[in-house]
Amino acid sequence: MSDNFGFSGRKKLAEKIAQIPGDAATDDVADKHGFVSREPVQPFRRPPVEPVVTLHTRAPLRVATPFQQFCAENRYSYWEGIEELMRRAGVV
Amino acid sequence: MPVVVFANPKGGSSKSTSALILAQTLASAGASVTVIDADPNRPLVDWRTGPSKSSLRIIGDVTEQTIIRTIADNHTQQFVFVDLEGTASRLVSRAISRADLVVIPLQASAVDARQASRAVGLVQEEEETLNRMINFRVLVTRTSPLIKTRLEKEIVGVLTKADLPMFQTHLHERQAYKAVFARRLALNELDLQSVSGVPEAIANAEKLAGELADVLTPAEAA
Repeated sequence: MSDNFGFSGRKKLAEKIAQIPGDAATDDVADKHGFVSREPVQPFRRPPVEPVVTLHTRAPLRVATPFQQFCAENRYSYWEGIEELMRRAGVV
Repeated sequence: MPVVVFANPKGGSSKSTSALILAQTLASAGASVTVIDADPNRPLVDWRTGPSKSSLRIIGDVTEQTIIRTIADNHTQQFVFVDLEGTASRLVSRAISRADLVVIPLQASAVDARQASRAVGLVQEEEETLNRMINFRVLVTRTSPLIKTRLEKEIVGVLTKADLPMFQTHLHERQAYKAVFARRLALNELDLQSVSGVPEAIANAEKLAGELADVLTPAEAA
């Protein structure tokens, strides 16, 4: 069936576009030559999908400081830090 | 809008000096020039905070995600220069993928030459992948205007033997080039009384800029 509407022409254009190498092709060459990404990757943090409650607490410095350090070193948010410590203590 | 990228994974090969001196020289001849400072140390962004009245436009804070768009956004300029970081990174390769000319500065030292050969290898393979010609030229920097050292002759000899395209003009070691960064001025704004060799530095820069324009002209006309 002949195409009088130019749809087949569009397909040819799509094929041509597919042949044009994108940045991914350049990046593959770069990786091969040791030109790798040097930029930090932002971790994707999944938002909680469970019910949440806000906790405010006044803690002594001797407790708060090591807790904050623990969270910073392990890249935990405070609730993740609490959860991890409770897990280690066998509470949860 | 020719895009001229300065690349050598070795730090201290005079990428920023070459980019700034050439860009200033073209700007002082009336060209509209933007330099994208993609070096995390931001030497050119720092230079722009000084008192220079040069029309040179400097853009900083680019990442591998934004470099291609930043180059495209400056298409109205007569020249876009990209001063890259002295490391082998994806940002470098992405900038090269958009270049009309890659300038590979190197000091006459074995370490610089070895790292420069990595940049040459990357350019040549990107050419094949993108199926378009990416012009490149090696620029020998920080040479003495008076004496050619044995090592310099040896390295230039190796480059010539390997048929690598080179700038005939070298960027000489000049106090004036250092003063441009220290005073944050253009070459032609330096005080002749307190900085030595300014006219010679300007002559060297103009000769090199002329050669750069010659390299870019046939590609533009084609």
